[in-house]
Amino acid sequence: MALLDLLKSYYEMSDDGFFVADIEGYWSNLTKAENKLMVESLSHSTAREVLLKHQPWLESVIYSPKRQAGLELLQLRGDEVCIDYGCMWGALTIPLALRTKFVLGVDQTMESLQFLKARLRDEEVDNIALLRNDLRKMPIFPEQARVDVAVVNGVLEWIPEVGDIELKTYYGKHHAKAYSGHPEEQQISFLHRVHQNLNEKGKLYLAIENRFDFKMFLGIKDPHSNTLFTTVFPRKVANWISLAKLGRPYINWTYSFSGIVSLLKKTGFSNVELYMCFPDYRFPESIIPYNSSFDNYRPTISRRNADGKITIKRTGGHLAELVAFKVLKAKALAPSIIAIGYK
Amino acid sequence: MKIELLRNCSHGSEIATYLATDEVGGKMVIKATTTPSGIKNLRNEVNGWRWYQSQRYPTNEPICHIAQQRVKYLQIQIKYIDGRKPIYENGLERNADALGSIVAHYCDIWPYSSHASPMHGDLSLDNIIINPDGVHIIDWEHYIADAAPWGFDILYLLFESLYFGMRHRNKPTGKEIQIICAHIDSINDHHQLQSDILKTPLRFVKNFILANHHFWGEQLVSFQMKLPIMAFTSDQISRIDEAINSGMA
Repeated sequence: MALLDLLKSYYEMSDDGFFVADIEGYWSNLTKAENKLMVESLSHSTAREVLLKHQPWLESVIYSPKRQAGLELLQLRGDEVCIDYGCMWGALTIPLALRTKFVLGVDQTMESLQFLKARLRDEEVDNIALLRNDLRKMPIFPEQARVDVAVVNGVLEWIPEVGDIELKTYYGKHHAKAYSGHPEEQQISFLHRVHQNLNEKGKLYLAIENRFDFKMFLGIKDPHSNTLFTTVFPRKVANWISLAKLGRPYINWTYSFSGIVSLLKKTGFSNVELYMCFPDYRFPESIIPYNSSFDNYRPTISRRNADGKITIKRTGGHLAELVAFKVLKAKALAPSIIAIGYK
Repeated sequence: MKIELLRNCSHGSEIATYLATDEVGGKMVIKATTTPSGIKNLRNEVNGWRWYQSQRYPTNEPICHIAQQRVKYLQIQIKYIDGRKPIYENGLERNADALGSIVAHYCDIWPYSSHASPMHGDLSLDNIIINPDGVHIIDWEHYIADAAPWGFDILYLLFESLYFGMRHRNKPTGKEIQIICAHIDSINDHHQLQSDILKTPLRFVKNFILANHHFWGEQLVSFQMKLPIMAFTSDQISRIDEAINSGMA
């Protein structure tokens, strides 16, 4: 396969069996110490056992079959070659490989790739190659190595961040945080590379939070910066809030539905299909085409908490969701967006 | 083609269900999975539709077929049936008309066997569509050929409907018992139910599920309310069965 030959010629192979570019970088929900402990156990236990022992809360995040529901929107045939940009532990990489011919998973975090490599061993998946690389520095492939599908799932808003990020210690804290320039320019530059690496009939699967998610108006903090109202205010005002709270401008830019279309058109995509996701794109209960009705929609925020008790907060969320979408049919306020971009 | 995700691994299942609409408004249902239990259930669904189609529909064109199949991935497509679904939360009394049609439909198409009959395994009002062509049973993920005594599925449907009617009460109303008795009479008139079913119908249904837990696999373990009648207590079952016996006497 042209892509695999190209990877062999471009990159060194690590001892762990994946391709490595000459980069540093770390982005993980776990600290480096936590990841180290997990990786050390992978040689004598399955990845799932290691996870259940050390970080059981991540089990559903990584293994839940719910995660992959959006992939059907790609209407795959089975013979596609794909790239999963920011693949982390393989929550979508493996489900994508089960549906297609070949997947290249790219991530900057060595430990995530080591975990994913162990999953491939345990789950006997042999049509995935892994590459450690900075997503912003992916090369533009020659025409014969371009792919059919690109997946950018929960990644675009993090593109402007640089340096090592241990999400637990980083999230919403006021200390020096590096960023790589104007957020939109960085995101466009990344998406332009993604676009270039698709073949002429290639498709992009892009999943991201909606900037105008109805919950953002109700005092829920932006999940990326842990700040209030930064997604919904004009970017200038968001910058002031972020400067006060985090000591740097607001960089984790998310977009509205029209904003995503505009961004993808700027990077060369000729056509974009939009979908509304409820309650979010990670664990979707409902995905509705943006130009469809809400006939089959049911609120996804339950009035009951994990213990089965009805709470005031959850009831408020349930009612707000019901009013926003069942009554007002306010599509622009849907929580998350999936965009299928056609080259 | 526009695709809408309708259900994603709901009620402990590992299957995602979609509604696909083509450019001219034609619709179909797509189900997909990548897990062993999901694949097993989708294969059951294909077999279930094949059997139901042979009993219910004159067409030879398959209503349900495998669209994509790989080692650990299965996608099936099912013809869309337009119509209304009875509201299962409304229980027995407010679904009386629908239940009458469903009981008649069951008796018409389900072949009688003194040993074991085909089992739908999840015959709930939520898995029924009613339109001018009559009653349509959907969602065959738990179908097994020759698994249950004749009458099991339809009795399950009656007791599940009773369960939803009784959700905020501890015991059924006289009207609910009357409805159940009338339906059991009508089922029994069609084909003689086994004597132990007639004696304690609700206990029989629950015990059958308990004894054949493996038919439903992991789903019943991970989501016990998959089959709501399992929530009836032993006391409730005794009282309901007694009331039914008195009502039928």
